[in-house]
This record gives sequence, C-alpha cells and structure tokens, in this order.
Amino acid sequence: MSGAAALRLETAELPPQAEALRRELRAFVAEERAAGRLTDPTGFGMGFSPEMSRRIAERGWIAMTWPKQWGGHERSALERYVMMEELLAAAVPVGAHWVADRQSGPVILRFGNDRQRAEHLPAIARGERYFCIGMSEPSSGSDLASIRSRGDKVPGGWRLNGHKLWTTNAHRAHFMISLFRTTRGLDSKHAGLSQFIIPLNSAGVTVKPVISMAGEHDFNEVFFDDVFVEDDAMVGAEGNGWNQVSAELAYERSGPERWLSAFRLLAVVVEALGSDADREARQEVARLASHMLTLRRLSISVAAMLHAGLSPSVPAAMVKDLGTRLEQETVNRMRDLALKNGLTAPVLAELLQSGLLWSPAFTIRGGTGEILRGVIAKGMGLR
Amino acid sequence: MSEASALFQDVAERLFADACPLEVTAAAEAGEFPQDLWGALEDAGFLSMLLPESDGGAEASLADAGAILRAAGRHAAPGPILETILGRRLLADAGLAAPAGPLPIAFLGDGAPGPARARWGRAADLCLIVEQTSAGAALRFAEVACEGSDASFEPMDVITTAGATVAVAAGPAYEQALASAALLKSAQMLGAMDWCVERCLAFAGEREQFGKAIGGFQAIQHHLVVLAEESVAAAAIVGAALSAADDERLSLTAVARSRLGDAVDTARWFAHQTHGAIGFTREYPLNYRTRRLIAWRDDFGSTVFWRDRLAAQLIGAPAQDLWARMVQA
Repeated sequence: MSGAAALRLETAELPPQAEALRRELRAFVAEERAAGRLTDPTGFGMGFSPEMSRRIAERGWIAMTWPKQWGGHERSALERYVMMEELLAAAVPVGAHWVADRQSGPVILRFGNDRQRAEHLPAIARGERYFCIGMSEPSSGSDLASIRSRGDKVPGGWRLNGHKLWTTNAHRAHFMISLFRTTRGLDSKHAGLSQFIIPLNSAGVTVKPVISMAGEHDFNEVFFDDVFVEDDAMVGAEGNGWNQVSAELAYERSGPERWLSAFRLLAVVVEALGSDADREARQEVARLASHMLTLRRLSISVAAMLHAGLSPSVPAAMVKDLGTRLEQETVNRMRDLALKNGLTAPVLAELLQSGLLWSPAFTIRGGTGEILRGVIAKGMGLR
Repeated sequence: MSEASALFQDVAERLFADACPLEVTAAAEAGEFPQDLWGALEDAGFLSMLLPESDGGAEASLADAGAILRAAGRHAAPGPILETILGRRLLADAGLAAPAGPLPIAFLGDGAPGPARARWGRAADLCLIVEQTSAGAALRFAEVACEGSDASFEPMDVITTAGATVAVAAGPAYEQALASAALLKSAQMLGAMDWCVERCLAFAGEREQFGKAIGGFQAIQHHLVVLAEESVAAAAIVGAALSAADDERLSLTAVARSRLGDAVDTARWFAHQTHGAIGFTREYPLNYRTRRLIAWRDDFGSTVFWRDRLAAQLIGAPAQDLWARMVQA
C-alpha cells in the first residue's frame, strides 16, 4: 500500500462495553481522589507509583488485551484505549507499569517464547514488574540502526557490551528490553540486530542519571560491561530486532499520552478562566479542544487497526507528529491566555513552567518529528 | 466507512468522473447551470437519496450522503447538490413534497452569516429557508435576487422576499438541520482536500528541478506529509461526526468544523507551496479546489461560529469535569 491509499483510515466506534468500563474507571478515579491518593498534576512528567500500579492491576487494567493464560484479561484494544484516556486525563500516576504494559509485554507476547511469557507477563499484569526501553545510544539517536552496542555469543548465552542513553526509568525499572548488534559485517545495518531482556541488577550494568533541563531525573545512561545473559534472554529470533523495534514503536507512538498531558493544562486554564471568559479565550479553548478530540479519533482508529492485527506505523507516526506539535502549541497558547487574563493560580504557574521546560522533549523523544515524517513519506511512496 | 457508504462513494466517483470534467465547473463559474450533470445526479437517485423509499428515495444515512459529497468535492462539482439532497429531506420530514429541480437553501438564525444568501438561488424559482424560531424551526420559501458569488465563483444569491411559513418543527430541528448541512459541507471539503493530496503527490513526481523530481527533496516530502496529516485528521473527525447518533452529532459537528477550519488553511498553503507558481494560475486545476476550500470553510456556520458553539459546552467547567464534557460520555 503506498501513495494516497496508505492514508485511508477507517472510522472506528468504541464498543458498548467500553462505556461500562469508562464508568468503572471514573468511579476508581473518584475513589482515589476522595482517599487523598490522587493529587492534581503539577508537571508534565508521568507520575511513578508502584502502589498505584498495583491497585490498577487489581482492577484488571494492566495486560487488558493479553491471553488469560499469561495473566491477561482478553479485552479488546478499544477497551484498553478507554483505560488509557481515562487514567491519563485524570493524571493518575501510571508511569511505573506503563512501558511494560504498552510495549515490553506485547513484544514478549508476540515475539517471545513460552518460558519468557510465563516468567514476565503475569508479573507485569500484577503491576509488580517494570520495564524500560534500550534503543538510543550516544552516537545513534535518529539513526537507530547504526547502534554499536554488541552481543557476542558465548557458551550458554551472550556477553553484552555497550552504552544506552535517554533510557527513561532505568533507575527504577526491573528489566530493560534492549537492542544490540549480534551479527556484524552484514550489508544492511538493519540486519544483525537482536533484542534482549536484561535484568537491570545483572553484574556489569551501571545506571547513571541524566538530569533534564526541567531539573528532573527521568532518563539515564546505562552501561553494559561484559554483562552475561542466558540464551533465553534473547526475545524473538536472532537478527529480527529491527522488525520488532518497528512494531513496538507503533504501540508507543499512537497512544493518547502526548495530547492528554496538554489536555490537563487546558483543563486547569478553563477552570481558572471561569464562566465569564472573553471571546478570544473561548475561541482558543474551543480550537485546541477540537484538535485534541480529533487526535482522539485518530488514536481510536489506530487502536482498532492494532486490534485487527495490523501494524499501522504510518497513522501511528501521524498521531505522534500531530500530537507532539499540538502539545507544544497548547503550552504556548495557555501561557498567553494566562497572561492576558491575569490567571495566577499557583498550580497553573507550576504546570505552565513544567510544560515550557519539557516542550523541547515532546517532538524529540520516541522519534523526532523529522524521523516520523520520513516514516510517513515512505508510506506515501515518496521514498 | 460502512459498505453502503463505500458503494455510494464508488458509484458517485464514476458519475462525477464522467459527467463533471473541469469544463463543466468552469462553465458553471461563468454562470451556466450544469444541466447534464444535474440530470445524471437525478437519474442516479442521489438527489433524493435521503428520502424514504415510499417517496422514491433510498433511505440513505447522512454518512452515505457524505460519501456522495466527498466525491463531489473531489471533482469540484458545481450546483446546489448538498442543498437539494438536504432540502428534499427537510421537506419530507415536514410532510411536504419538494418542488422539482434544484432546491437552494438558506439558514436564518444563529450561524447565518449576515444577510441570508443561498448558493445557486437563481437555479430555482424559490429557495428553501430554514428559520430558527423560539419553538424550533420554520420552513418557508423565498425569492432571490441574482447577485453575488464567493471565492468558488459560483453564484451566491441574496434572499429577498420570504413567503409565509409552510411548516414548523419543534425541538432542536434547526440545530440538527444546520449541523447536517455543516457536516455535508465538511465531507465536500474532505473531497477537495483528497484531490489536493493526490495531485500534489503526482505533481511532486512529475515536476523536475535541479535535475530530479521535486518529490525527492526532503523539504517537499515534509510539505506533502503535513498536507496528508491534515487531510487524515479532518477525515477522522468528520467521519466520526457523520456516523454519530443524533444527540452526539451536534457536539461533534462543532468539533469537526473547528478542526476543519485549521485543516483547510494548512492544506491550502501546503498544496500551493508544493506547486509553486503554476498552482496560482487559473488554467491549472488546483485553484478550482482551493478556491472552494476558501468559500466552503465558513459555509453553514463559520469556523468562528462553531468554535463559539463548542466553547459554550466547555467554558465554566471545573478542571475535573472538562474531560467528560469534551468526550460527551
């Protein structure tokens, strides 16, 4: 599929059972709030709370689409979508289990073997085991396939050496699924790459913080010095790493995470504006809300495509490209509205500052806007 | 898209490809009513598609009509097609028979931009007025003065003498009629944007500069990607609104028209920028779509009007309630 045909996207409807689930999620959020376990967000980062992750797991809202055999709940991707938007819109701190649920688990489920599934999936589903993603390196950012971290075959397993960078939550996750070059000297740089599941307490793994310009510790650099992992640590076939990473990125890119962080800022501004907001403010609020609700429809369509077993990398890249630019624009516009209307609530000032400081990261992490447009251009037959 | 809608779109696509070459649109812009195209649309049953089968219609859904209008927009088809499809349905709902032939429409009330105008008012003896009243909506027939047009260069005539009320409908009838018109117009805009995406892709492959097709330059590729993103985003929200239930449709229409206002502006810029000077000429067919996008963007309620509507639903919400108000669930 190429050219304009690659752009056809089906309208998907949320199934009736999704609305029952939505009510359960809202009741949960209300309970957490009433119990004082859920506070208003003051930043654009995703909160990290193992306790909250376990409570969410008890409700069956992790591993929602996986087989029951592996601790999952066999619900649809569209129900999972409703879970994502309701928890994120309410700023529930889901950061501990989010990556494991969104992409590490699905990679193990799809490409792993039964031993790996039994080892990791039920623990992820219980909200007890957290993952991070090892892709970028100091010399390999957008050009991911140029990675140098290497895995060498040794008796009984692999010896890993290298250096990963920008690894969110490496300092508090239990495992990393990481991309290494396991065969060198091949014609294509996309060949010879493999993914490993690595316990972060392995001998030879060193995690060092990288503090962001927002002053926060979310990402890290991770060093691998002669780290030994068993044969069974390799997930998927040797040399299939590039395909697996591409599939994983469709999960990462198409979700509502990006524009929902901007939504929370919009919500705080709307509350501060009150009922007598002027025409300009009303127009701006409506404009941004319409952009967010449109991205929501795109996310739902992509969820439906994932559910149908497709790999919608082009629409997923569109959701992220549009969503991250909207996130940046929302921060700037809300800042202007706050200034024009003299909105001075402390929570708003904090959230605005966080948004402005985080802004550069939005269109860089998870694939820069330029890389995303390259993916889309290729899908349109331009490359 | 449902199977029925896809079928309507296929048939419509073939009909417009046959009966609506660019010369028909150009002649219509010079004031000539597209009689042959009109006959083909009537023969295919499209103009009565929203009527019950007992009235000779196809009992088609609004989404089906959207499929036809998307094809119409793609071909820059002239004439009061949308107006006639919708107008016949509004009259049938009121238990009235529609006059034969084209049925131009004007809305009087919220969302009516200034003095009432009707696209192709001159194509019929009388034009249908949908008027907002305190109880709901009133239907009237009116005469028009042949004057004016807009950026589409098709006639946009002024309502002069409105006749007596012929029917009234209670409840949100006016809102629903206006939303239906606004959404069908959205589908027409999607079609024009579809054409822009397809033509720009083809043009980027044909046009050579610096020794290679311009589509090989990353700057142009990124233009085409943004153009495509706007078209895909607009199609997602319009598609959702067209297939929504009646009560949800009112709110989704405001969302769709607000988002489309920006999509149209962005798409127009990127389509022209990709084409360079040739796209600015009357001879090259791009302008037949981009001029219509300029005109249609603010038809049946401007972008500003629909944003006011959407804001009324959101403003005043406590932070914790905004999400529920936005997703209407």
